[in-house]
Amino acid sequence: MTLDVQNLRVTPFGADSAVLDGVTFSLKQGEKALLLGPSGAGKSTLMLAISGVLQQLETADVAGTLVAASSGLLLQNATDSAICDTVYRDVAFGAESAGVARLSIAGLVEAALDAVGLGELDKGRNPQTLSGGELQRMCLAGLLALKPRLLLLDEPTSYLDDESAAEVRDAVSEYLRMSGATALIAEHIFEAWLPLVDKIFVLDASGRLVAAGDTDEVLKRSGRQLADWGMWVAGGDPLHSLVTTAETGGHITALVGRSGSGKTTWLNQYLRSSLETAPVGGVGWLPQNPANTLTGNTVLESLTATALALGEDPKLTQQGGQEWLRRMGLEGMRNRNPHELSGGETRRLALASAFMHKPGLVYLDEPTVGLDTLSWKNVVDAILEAKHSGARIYLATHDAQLLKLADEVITLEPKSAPIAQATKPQLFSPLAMFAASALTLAGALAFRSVSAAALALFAEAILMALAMWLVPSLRRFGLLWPMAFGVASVGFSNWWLSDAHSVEAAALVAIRVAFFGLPGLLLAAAASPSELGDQLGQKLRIPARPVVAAMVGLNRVHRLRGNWASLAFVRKVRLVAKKGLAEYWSLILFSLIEATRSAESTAIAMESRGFSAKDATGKPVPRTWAIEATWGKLDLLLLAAAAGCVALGLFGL
Amino acid sequence: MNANSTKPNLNWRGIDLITTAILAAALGVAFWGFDVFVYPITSTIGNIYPPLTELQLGVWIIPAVLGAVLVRKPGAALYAELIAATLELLLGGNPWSWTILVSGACQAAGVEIIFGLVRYRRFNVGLAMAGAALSAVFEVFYEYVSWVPDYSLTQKLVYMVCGVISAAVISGFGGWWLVRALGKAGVINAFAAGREARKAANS
Repeated sequence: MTLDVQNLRVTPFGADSAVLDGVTFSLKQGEKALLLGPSGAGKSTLMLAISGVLQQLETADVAGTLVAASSGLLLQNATDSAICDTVYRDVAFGAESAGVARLSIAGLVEAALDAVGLGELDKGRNPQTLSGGELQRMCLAGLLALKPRLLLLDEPTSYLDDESAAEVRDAVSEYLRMSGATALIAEHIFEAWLPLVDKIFVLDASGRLVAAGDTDEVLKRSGRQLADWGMWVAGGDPLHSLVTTAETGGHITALVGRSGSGKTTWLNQYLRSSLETAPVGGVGWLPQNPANTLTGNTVLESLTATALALGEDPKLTQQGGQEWLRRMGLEGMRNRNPHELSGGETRRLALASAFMHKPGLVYLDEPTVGLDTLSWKNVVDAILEAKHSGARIYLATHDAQLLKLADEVITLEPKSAPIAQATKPQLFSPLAMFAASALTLAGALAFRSVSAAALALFAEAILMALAMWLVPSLRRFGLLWPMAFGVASVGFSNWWLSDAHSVEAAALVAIRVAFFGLPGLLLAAAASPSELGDQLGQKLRIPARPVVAAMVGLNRVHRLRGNWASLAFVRKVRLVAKKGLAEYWSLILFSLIEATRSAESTAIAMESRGFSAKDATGKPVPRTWAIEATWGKLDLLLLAAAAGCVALGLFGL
Repeated sequence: MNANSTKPNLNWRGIDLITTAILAAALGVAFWGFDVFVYPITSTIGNIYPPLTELQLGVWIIPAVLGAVLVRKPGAALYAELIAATLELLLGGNPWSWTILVSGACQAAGVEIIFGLVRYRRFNVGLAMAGAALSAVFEVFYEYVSWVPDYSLTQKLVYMVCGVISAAVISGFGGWWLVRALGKAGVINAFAAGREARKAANS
């Protein structure tokens, strides 16, 4: 038995009721099954429990017995699942967690990337520059590297275009064929998986297993039920049941193209340029990350914020808001905090928020992704209604059904060159740079003579200039200004606010600050978080888990910065931005909320690759490092240079 | 609401590490924005009377309080503060260069000590403010040595008072408030702090 679940009951800490209620089923070696059920049925929770991640997270009470072979869990959102800053590190992550020796890891990574059809990929590339399909296959490779006996796939293709989804399915089926492994697959639009599976399990909204058996049998018996729950059952074309009204007024332009072809960029640029001419409040926007539209303390507040900012009647707006919540299937949630909503609910609320104030221009980024048929109809209804009232609508989508409604389709070709990424060159070991910097601080605080200190600073500046001359990537002159500013103000204030008003003493303080600050420019220009982590873990033997988690946090910076910027922009477009410091504080809060949400997904992705794995005796598995931390001659040279400058300052002249 | 007589679990879970690291990085980004866009203005104004610039100190102590109050484990303040500081260093654009890490250690020390004294059993706003204030004391002493050694005694005193007030209000109260706001938003249910905040909000 590869998987045996008996009477599984899961209750999240702090929740009133169980998410999974007495689930019992099993899978034999090599069996492949679909897991179906309405949104919120606990499919993801079941996957997490089977993979053991839920128990690692310690966020829920898990009762019942559960026996499962070594498993790999693939998640819906590949962007959050990608952990590291290069493809190589990312695919190697699971092997590192399992304590595989460095020399063996290289072969595993190679084989795993080959197995998912990414053998040609540059392994030094940043995963976030890959297309959606490539990214999901890379995550799959990360699981396959450990040769799991049980593959758990949680909505693996719902964010992908058809072509990319097919590539992911092919990679999965190839692995299952080669390895004879068992698989459990949850997916909303499940038809394409049917040829691959032998069994279907169905969960209902309260987390109980209501049907189980062979594929055809379950579809025959429960097909109708599934369709009622909004599952995409074969033959049901949701467009049929739409109310089509006479063509009037508006216009729908659809942008299509594979993920990574720049649909979002195109949409955002168009939105920005239209803001210059559009009337205030005349724009509705569903951004790529719908959570950025959330504001206020309740769902209703978030929904009505733009309309109220436009000065519409509060009472009518409230009523209109209620109506929109009903249409989007959110009526029970009006007083909930908007950030508590699930991903799908957030998207629907953001859609309602885009339409609610009746804008003449509407920009929608993937409005129907991941929706069940019921929500899908409501969303499409809303789009058509806006069109008929004369709105100009631009939407980016890979939904073939939705495309049928477009008056005009623009196809974007994938960009041929990958997005240029700023990689920091490996020059000095980050540890050597820190050591040199620390040396200059210790030395500088002991400087006593102004002339000697000035000489030391001069020597240091010459060396820095030399380094910049030799290595173009170190020429980050922009970093110099804040430092120069700091040095000047330290010198001035130490003169002005002292008792003695000694120019010499103040100059000494300023020179010291400049002296120990300068080497930091090297760090800012040349240290990468991952290399720093390698050094801290291997050379200083700092425990691996905190080091690795810190690396993941630091590598997240570009995304966090991007999200900060788009959050600020969305708030302006929605007319909910406050002024000055109040807005700064709001941005901090909302970006922390968003960071926390993505941290939870990342934690799941890391735990599913064994981040906190324990061996049979309950001891943590010692982590290995895929990339060796090295010290070279350049590092010694750097330390010698720092020591030389310090010596000049201490003993010179 | 924070009184708890049972022995707290002081082992770090994976989600503790990862959430702290990513939140600290998010704060690091916010600080970078502060360093680049706000600090030059406020510190130029502050040059009229430099010790007043220390009224901003609290901004940089937020990660320490946030980490400790969220995770409730030894080292959380230091871990969060060092990650935020490293990020600020790697992004560049601030006058402190790499010594920001030394400041980071000082700015976490007070918070660690105060919560250590109550053995990680209580995490109320008063303790958060006390911890942040003590951190400010450490930080200001470090600055006495490295940045403002020549200030007269009176000026050093003003400098200290400004730093301590700022830390207590901005990071002590502010950091505690942020954790509560995250809890009310329902995004930290995996943490005891989040579940308590939700219970308080619902009752």
